[in-house]
Amino acid sequence: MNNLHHFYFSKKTILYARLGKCTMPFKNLKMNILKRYIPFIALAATVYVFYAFVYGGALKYAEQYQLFQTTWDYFASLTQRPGGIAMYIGRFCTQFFFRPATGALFIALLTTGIFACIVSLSESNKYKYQAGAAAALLSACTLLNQFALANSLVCICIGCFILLIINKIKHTKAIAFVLPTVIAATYWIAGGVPASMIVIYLICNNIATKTHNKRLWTGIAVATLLIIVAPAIARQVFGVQLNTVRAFVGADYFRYVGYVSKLPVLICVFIGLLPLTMLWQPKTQKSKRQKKSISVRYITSWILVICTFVFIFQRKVSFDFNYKCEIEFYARTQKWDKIVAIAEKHHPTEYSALIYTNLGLAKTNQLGDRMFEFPQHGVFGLVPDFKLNMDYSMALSEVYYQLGFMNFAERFAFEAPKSNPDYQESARAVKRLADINIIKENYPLAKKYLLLLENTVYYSKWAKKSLKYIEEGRTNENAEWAMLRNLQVNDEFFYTEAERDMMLGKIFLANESNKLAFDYMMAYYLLDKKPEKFMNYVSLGQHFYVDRMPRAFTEAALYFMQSKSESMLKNLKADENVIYKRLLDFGDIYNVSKDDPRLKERFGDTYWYYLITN
Amino acid sequence: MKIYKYITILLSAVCAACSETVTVSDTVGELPPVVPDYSQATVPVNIAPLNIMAADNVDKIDVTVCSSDGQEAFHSQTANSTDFDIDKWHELLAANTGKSITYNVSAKADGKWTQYKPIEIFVSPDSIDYGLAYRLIAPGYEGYAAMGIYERNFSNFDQKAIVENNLLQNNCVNCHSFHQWKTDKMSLHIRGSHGCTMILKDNNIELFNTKTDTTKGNCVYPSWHPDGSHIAYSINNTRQVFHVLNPKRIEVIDFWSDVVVLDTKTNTLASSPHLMSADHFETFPYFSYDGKWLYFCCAKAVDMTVDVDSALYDLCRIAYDNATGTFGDKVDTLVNASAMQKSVSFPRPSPDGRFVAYTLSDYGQFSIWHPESDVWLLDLESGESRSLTAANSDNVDSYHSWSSTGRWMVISSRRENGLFTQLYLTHIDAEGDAAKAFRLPLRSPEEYDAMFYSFNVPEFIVEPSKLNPFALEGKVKNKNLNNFIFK
Repeated sequence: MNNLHHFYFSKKTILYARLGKCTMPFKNLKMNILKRYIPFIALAATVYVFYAFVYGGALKYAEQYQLFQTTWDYFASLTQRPGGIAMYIGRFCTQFFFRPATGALFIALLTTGIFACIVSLSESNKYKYQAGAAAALLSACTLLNQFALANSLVCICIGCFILLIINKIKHTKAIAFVLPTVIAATYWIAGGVPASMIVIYLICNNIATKTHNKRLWTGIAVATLLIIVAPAIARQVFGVQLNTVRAFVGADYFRYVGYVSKLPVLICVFIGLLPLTMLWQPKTQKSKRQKKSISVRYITSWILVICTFVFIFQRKVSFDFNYKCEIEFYARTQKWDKIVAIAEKHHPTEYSALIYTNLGLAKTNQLGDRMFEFPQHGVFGLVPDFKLNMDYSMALSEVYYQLGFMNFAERFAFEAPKSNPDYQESARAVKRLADINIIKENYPLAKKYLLLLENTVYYSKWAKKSLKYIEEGRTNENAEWAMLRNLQVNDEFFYTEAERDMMLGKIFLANESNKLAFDYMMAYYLLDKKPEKFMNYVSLGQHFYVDRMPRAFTEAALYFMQSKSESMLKNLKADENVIYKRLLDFGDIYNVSKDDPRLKERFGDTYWYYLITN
Repeated sequence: MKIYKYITILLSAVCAACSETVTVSDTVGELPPVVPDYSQATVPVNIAPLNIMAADNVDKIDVTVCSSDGQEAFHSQTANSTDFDIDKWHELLAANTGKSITYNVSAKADGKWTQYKPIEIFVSPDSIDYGLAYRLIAPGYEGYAAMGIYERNFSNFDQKAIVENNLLQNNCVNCHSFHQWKTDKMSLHIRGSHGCTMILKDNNIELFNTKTDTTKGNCVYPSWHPDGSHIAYSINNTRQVFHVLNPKRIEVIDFWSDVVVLDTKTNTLASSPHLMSADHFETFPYFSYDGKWLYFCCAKAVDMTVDVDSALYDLCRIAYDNATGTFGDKVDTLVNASAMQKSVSFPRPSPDGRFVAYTLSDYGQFSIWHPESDVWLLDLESGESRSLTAANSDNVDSYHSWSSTGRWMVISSRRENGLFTQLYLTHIDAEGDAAKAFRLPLRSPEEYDAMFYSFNVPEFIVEPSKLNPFALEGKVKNKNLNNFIFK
């Protein structure tokens, strides 16, 4: 084994420093320490800033689809499968993604841990910083994908850490002896990929250092055999009911659990092969030309690291996904103004973001005025069809919850985690289910959900408070629950997706003060291009709009009236007249050319433009 | 994992050492604030420890379990759940067979200890089978996520996966059925991309496409004939619809249904005009344990798109001769539920042939979503039916099975919270009288709170499962399906 030097500075230096006897001028020592720390601090800071302040939406998104429990049973249930401990740690970290400023700390810590382990492992390797930076930066990239799980980062970190410990063992006999046990433990803790990484590293290290120790090679051979048979042992002996590939990989790296992400596997292979770079180490040269050659190699290796990172980063990162996640988070936390602000900036086209945008507009009383300022794509951007998809289910649940349609808010909140590809429960869904069952006064079920949330970090306080409300019979004191309880329908019928307008009507008729339901019903008819139905029912909501009708509603009404009879357009109010003049202008351009770009420029935010383009 | 058990025992021992002296401030004649309610329950002599947990409004409980002669067997003081030693527990029950054991409970709340009325539990000499096989599935609507068929040993808390859908391309697994409580013959449906029906027989797994040119759909609810060669199935065209009003959530309706019998030796399906009638829906077939009768539910065919609650099922039976594979020429209506504007589902004849247990609800056949559903018992000798009042609750009490001795019945019930189904065991005496049902004990009652699954289709088994899940995995992956032929 290669001798390892201490990570930051030698024992002797520390001892002298503690005794106040510097082996070098103190200023130099400080500079030296600082120099050693700078790469790690820089990496940690970069990763932290990116995930905390630039890509935080993705972290919040990941958090909502798990329910980490601080209970013994939760720990025990995970650790009964290979890679389970890494998954537990991964999920532990993920729960803090609720607050990206905290969650990013864990990502920075893990990536810096990988960097530090590799630098320490490759002490005598002249490319150690390049290798460490490459592995750490690429590891940080594993979380850029919306379906990535933090488990992969944890697995790589655990693998590196165990490798570092093995590397500390000086005697090859001892390594040969403990290696199979260590590999078995690594497999159970973090899965077969980090275990294979360790074995590959040891093989490469032996090749690079030309080690012919038979005991060590025997230990490696046994460990290799162990990795090969580990999935079969896990399945047949321990009864782990995972297919062979998943039984080998252990921890799930990706939310679609049948799929094994390539990036974490490639990073592990890269780390395993690192000792081979020793074979191409530049030797110390004295001539100017030779020194220049070393510098070129150094610079080239850094360029290679940066290019690889940029290539992977560009392929994985999605800022569109990030803002969509921000919108979802603000819907969770009911910050409707912020949703509208993001939508104004990005004009979302993706359905689930559009659903929240419309809900945000409706909750801020802007749907009737501004809905066509955003790219609408039919009724599915308002009240979508049900799909076994966690994002859609959750969005649909949110819409029905706000409308007061509790049985279906419950249904879709329940379905959301069931369509979560890695089958985890969702903290967001469980919290919503608790809300719904409190509103429905089904307290035993609400309590079940609240007791689960009590065992979490971020939802515990809310759960305790809610339990107190129930125990003291004060649930009506919560304004949201009391309001939504009043909005519930009281007429039994079966849910039919084909007649969503009818359902919206029933919700509104159950409580005619439900302005959200009225706005949704009207918006539904507009998006469905049924101005006749819109005109039939718009008068039902006159009490909401005594002073003036919202702009999009007025546009639709004027369009309908103009197409039926000019006489209906008498006695328009001043603001209606302005809109009517716009309609005439629109008609003038449209009648000349349907493809005139001025239509989009001047009327892109109108109902009329929506009618001709969708 | 045993290691967790040892750690728990160690922690319990540490906690026991820290238990405080109970100074009772008050004594009340009520039952103690503990979960679950085992008071006055009749339990089998070989059941696992019945641990109890402090209710939410209590800080701590002090529990002493005494034998019928008043001797203390266990003492536990805990803020959560008791954890009685399994071996010692079995010794206690064995020594008190046919008698009662008593839980003396004091509870601490607001700094004061209150002593409550003792909980009395009767230990029946009728032992219960090895265990239960059930499906664990989220009580959801359309999505099901992770699920599987599991077995649970009654005498301890061991639960083992028979097969999980992880192994089967995440398809849905359902309707597990065993031959005469033994596990060497099993039928199981797999639904989804790799849909098929598995039949395990003589250590051999075979997969079938159960739809034939003559039958209108796939085979559904199975029941093995005692000869081990025939299986009755229904064929249903099923759809789900969703209620808007609380407390109902889901309605599962059949647009039509028939009953067929499979001969597993020849893979041929047979039926009778009485079981495939165009103007009736026939479903939930179940063979009597002498094999001479096939029980089923039957309703007049109605247009389910118009009136969901108009399908009312009666309990019927038809004679069956397994030697010739022929059916009787008339159908006996045993419970004319439709005349009472009620509906029957899940008929289950008792092993001694005297009773038929069934679920009675207001309408339809999928009573597991009907809060009003209860388990009833038809006495075939007297022709009278009665509700198993002591075992039923005011919420869903539906899918039920008999133990091999006919002395125990398991009932699926949503009584705890209206959504998550839990299993309740009840003793049925020779006259068909049920004792108070008690919830299937888990090591800690808290486990139920943390669970996201319903216990579904509970079936008693007398031995551990013999299905090799990995062999099934391979077969399902290869999709080598045999076909049934309709005779």
